[in-house]
Amino acid sequence: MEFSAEVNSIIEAEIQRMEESKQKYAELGRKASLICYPAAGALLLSVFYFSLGGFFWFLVLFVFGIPSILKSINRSSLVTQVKQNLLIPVLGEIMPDITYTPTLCVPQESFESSDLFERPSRYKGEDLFEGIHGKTTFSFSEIHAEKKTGSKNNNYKTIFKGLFLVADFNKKLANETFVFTSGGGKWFSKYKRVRLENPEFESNFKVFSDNEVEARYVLTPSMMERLIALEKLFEAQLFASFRGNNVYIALENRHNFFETDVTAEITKQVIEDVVAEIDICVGIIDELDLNTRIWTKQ
Amino acid sequence: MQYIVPLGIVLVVVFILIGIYNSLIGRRNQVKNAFSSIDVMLKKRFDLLPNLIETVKQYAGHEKEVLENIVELRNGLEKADLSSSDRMAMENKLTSQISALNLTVENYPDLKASENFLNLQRNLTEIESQLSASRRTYNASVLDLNNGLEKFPSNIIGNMFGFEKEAFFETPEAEKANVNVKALFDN
Repeated sequence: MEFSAEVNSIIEAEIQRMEESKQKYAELGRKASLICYPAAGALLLSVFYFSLGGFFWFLVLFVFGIPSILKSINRSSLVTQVKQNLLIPVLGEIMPDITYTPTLCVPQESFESSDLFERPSRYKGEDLFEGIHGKTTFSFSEIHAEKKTGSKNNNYKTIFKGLFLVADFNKKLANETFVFTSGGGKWFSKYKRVRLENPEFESNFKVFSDNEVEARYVLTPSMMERLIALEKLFEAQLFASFRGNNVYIALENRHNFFETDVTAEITKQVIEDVVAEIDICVGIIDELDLNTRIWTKQ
Repeated sequence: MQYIVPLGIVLVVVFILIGIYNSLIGRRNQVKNAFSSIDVMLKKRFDLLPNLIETVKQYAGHEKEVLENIVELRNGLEKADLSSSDRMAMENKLTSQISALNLTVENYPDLKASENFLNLQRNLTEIESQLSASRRTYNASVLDLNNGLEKFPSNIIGNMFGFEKEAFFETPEAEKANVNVKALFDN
């Protein structure tokens, strides 16, 4: 993706500032190591020498851990800095119709109204993109939805982790149609299984719907091809539902979307890669041809 | 006591036969049901035609031939005594005539810009895509029924009770041949 001169100047100025912050953090880290490691050593000797109790052992570990804690705090503040100071202004320039909020995600109600997965008991996500692309209103973000499995506090099972997109569907829907990737998600449904003509689609997906005709109205031969292509493009497992005038696309993929490796050198290329990734996600709307509005719903 | 085992076997066989018979009936009804959904869409299209003809006449009176063909086909479809194959042949002709009309529209900028016509065109596209979905559903139901009538052992029951295989819905030739029309309707 080629950026304009204006965007390039924003990126260059910000990369400069980021590098300065990184150096500052690295310096801080070095100082912390210089102080904390000898201090932890001295504490350890004292614990042995004076035969001190449990609390002091904890203190030794804590002092020893300070540099690592500091490193991880610095890392996350750099990630935030990249998103806030680099991505938001760059996107504002190149995709003015899209709002990016790094800390928010697609609301849980939307996730639940897709009816693709079980109701999660713990739900989080980040990197919310929303706006209008062509004629289609959409929002997408990373989502991690989990379900509590036992009575213990930390027993959670992941229901879904990946990219979740909600968009306004271009045809009127009165019924519900679900597309599950084969070998993933719900293996049965309250609805009837619909068999479609495309053999590749049939081997990749299972379709359920409460109305066979509407399922085929939604899943036209070209829509089937597009869903196959989308799954390949993202190297992900694809789940989709068409209900309540919306299309919900869930791409299960452990890859951390829209994130830069802040430990490596931040270059223009890195930002270009992230923007390209966002562009591919917005491209789902083109891929599914949601902007073609030749039906009664405009 | 000695009759229990043979009786049990007979009962199991009878239940299996009833099951197969019922499933064939279910499949046959599904074919009928799918056919009726095609019918609903054809009726909707039929009702839309007078409006379409009037609107096109206003702007594109020169396209007499296509318009007359459409009127003629519509009048033909109104006759009650049509056999279903004749009717489908006429509906297919109508589809190709409507497609032809849509192509000539390119020559009439006023017509293309008319809000009324745009609305009609959207309705027609909607109906055509619903129609295509209904046809595909019908074909899937026919496939299901025909599979039942050819596979063992349901083919035996099928033959015994005089079930008949159904024919698939052929895509109208015009839709197959004309890429432009396909792009317009087949979405």
